[in-house]
Amino acid sequence: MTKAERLAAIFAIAFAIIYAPTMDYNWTAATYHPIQGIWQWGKAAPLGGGSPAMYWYGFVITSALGAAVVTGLAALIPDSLLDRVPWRSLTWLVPLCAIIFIGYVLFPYATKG
Amino acid sequence: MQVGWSILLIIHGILAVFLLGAITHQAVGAAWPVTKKGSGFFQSVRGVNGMSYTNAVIILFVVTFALGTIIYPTYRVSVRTVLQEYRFFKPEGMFEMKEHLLALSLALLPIYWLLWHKASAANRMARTAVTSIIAVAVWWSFLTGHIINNIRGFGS
Repeated sequence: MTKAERLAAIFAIAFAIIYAPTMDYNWTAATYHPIQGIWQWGKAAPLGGGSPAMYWYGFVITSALGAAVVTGLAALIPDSLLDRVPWRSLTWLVPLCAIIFIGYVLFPYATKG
Repeated sequence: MQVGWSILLIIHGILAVFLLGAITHQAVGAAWPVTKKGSGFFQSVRGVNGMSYTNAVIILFVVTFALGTIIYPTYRVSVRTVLQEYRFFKPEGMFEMKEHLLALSLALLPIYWLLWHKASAANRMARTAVTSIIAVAVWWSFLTGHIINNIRGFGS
């Protein structure tokens, strides 16, 4: 496995590991208020007047920044150590586990109503 | 203004159709490759050269995703509120799942490109699995978008 492949795999794995709790606990990096067209850093409450607050953009930003930091740190680790990890398997197993977790979190949508 | 959003939504949908076709061909070819030459529809689908779809899939995914993020606030204000009002929880939950599946798929694109760019027998399992995850995400998103559009889409 080349270094580029390994780092791309680490980015995808880190993104999935960070994204799952981020969407569950709302660790959003930014909030968008669509009616007012206002961005706010971090988690912000709706501004009122029936305006929703959108957190998903912030989930992507949180996870992308976190994954970029993890990937940057992994680039500093010697290849001989990283070669021992089965990155190719983890690169799809971890996102798959994240999808199952997210499905579990969202399952109440399927049962209520 | 409403017409502008509808045009963007239609372009988003058309690009999603192209993406769906490309990723489905590639995923089928990777997961169920032909073992012997033959003619016929299924043999042709299974026998595609997956590598030739990679760049198109990435460009279509990124552009469709970007258009989706632009029209997303309109959904949040004009459509999701209606789903909640009429207690359409299942389509609302499907859309929630769609946005999370696509975010995870977006992060898979760099390794997806590298796995196909340097396709080998050693990375076949990972290549097939990553392609299949993206294909499932695209199918889920396409069907969800179609259902949401049926509930409250163009002209409603």
